[in-house]
Amino acid sequence: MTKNFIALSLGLSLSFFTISSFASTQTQNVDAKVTVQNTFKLEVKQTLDFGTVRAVSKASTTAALSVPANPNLQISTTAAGGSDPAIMDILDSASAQPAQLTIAEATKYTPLTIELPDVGTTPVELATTGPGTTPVFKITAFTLYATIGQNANQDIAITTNQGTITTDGSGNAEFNLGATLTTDDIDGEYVDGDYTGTVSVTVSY
Amino acid sequence: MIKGILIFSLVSTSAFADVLESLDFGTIVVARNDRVSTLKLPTNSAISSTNDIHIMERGHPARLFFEALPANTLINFSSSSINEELSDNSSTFIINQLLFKPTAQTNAYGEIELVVGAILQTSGDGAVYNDGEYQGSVSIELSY
Repeated sequence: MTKNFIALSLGLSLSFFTISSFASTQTQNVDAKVTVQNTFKLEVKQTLDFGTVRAVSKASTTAALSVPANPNLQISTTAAGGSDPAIMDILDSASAQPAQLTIAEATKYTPLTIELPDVGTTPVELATTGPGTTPVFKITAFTLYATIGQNANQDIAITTNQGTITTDGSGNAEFNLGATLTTDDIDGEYVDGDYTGTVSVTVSY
Repeated sequence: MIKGILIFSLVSTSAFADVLESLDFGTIVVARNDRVSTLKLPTNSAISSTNDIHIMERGHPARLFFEALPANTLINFSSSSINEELSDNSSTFIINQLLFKPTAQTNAYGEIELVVGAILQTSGDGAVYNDGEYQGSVSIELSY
C-alpha cells in the first residue's frame, strides 16, 4: 500500500508541471462608444432693419437702399434716373441695422457655410397691409461680415449665394447680414406703415 | 492528498483582466456622409480625422490591465473583432481596425497593461448620423 501511494503522488506531481506549461488563451471584451453632436446653436441676435424711408415705386425705374453688413460702411441709396423716377430717400436711419446672427456650440476652428436665398432670381419681398395694388419692397442683394470667428472683422465673400465663416477656438462665430432694398417695378403708392418679410438663412458644416 | 489540492489550485488560476478605461472616441460632428470619413484614435491619444468628421471633444483609447499571468513572460495580443459596429439603432459606424502592440512582456508580478486604440469610419452612403451615443464592443485575445 505504501508503494502504491508514492507512485500516485509522483503521477500527480508530473501532472502539475505539465499543466502549468500549457499555453493559455483568454478573451476580454471592451465597450466602445462615440458621441455625435451635429447640431449647433444658431440665433438671431438682431433683426435686419432698413429704417424709415420715403419711397415711390415706378414701373420704368427702381431706386435702392443698402444697409451694409460691414459696420464701417454707411447706409447708402441708389437713385433712379429719368424724369419721373422711383424714389428711395432716407428719412430716419437711426434704427437701420444689419441682421446679426450668432453661432455657438460648433466645433472650433471649423468653416461653416452660410447659405442665403437666391434673391437675384427671386427677391425677398417686404410687404404691408393695404390695398392689393400697394407695391412691395424687394431685397435684391446681400452682404456678409464676420464679427466673431477666425475671420472676424472681415467681409465674407458671397459666391453663388454662399459665404463661409470659421468658428473661433470656442466653437463660436457671429456675422452681420446686410442687404439692398429696392423699390417695386410697378407704378404705385406706398402706404405708410411697416413693411416686413422673412429672410431664410441656413448655416451648416 | 496535499498534492491533489495544490494541483486544483494552480489549474484554476488564470489571468485576471480589468478594463481601466473603455474605448471612447469622444464627441464628433459628421458634417456629411456622402463619402467615407475616418477617425483615428491611436494608443498615444493623438486623435485625428479625415474628410467630414470634425472632432469636438477628444476621446481616449481603452486601457486593460491583466494580472495573475506568468512573470516575465511574452504575451501575445490579438483581436477577432473585425468591422465591429457602433450603433444607435438607426445608423452605424464601423471600427475597421484596432491599434495595439501585438506582444509585450509581463513584469515580475505577472502584470501587464495594454492600450487599445482604433480607427472608426462612417458608412459614406449618405445616411444621416443623428445626435446621440453610438455603442458597441470589441474583444481582445491574450495568449502565452
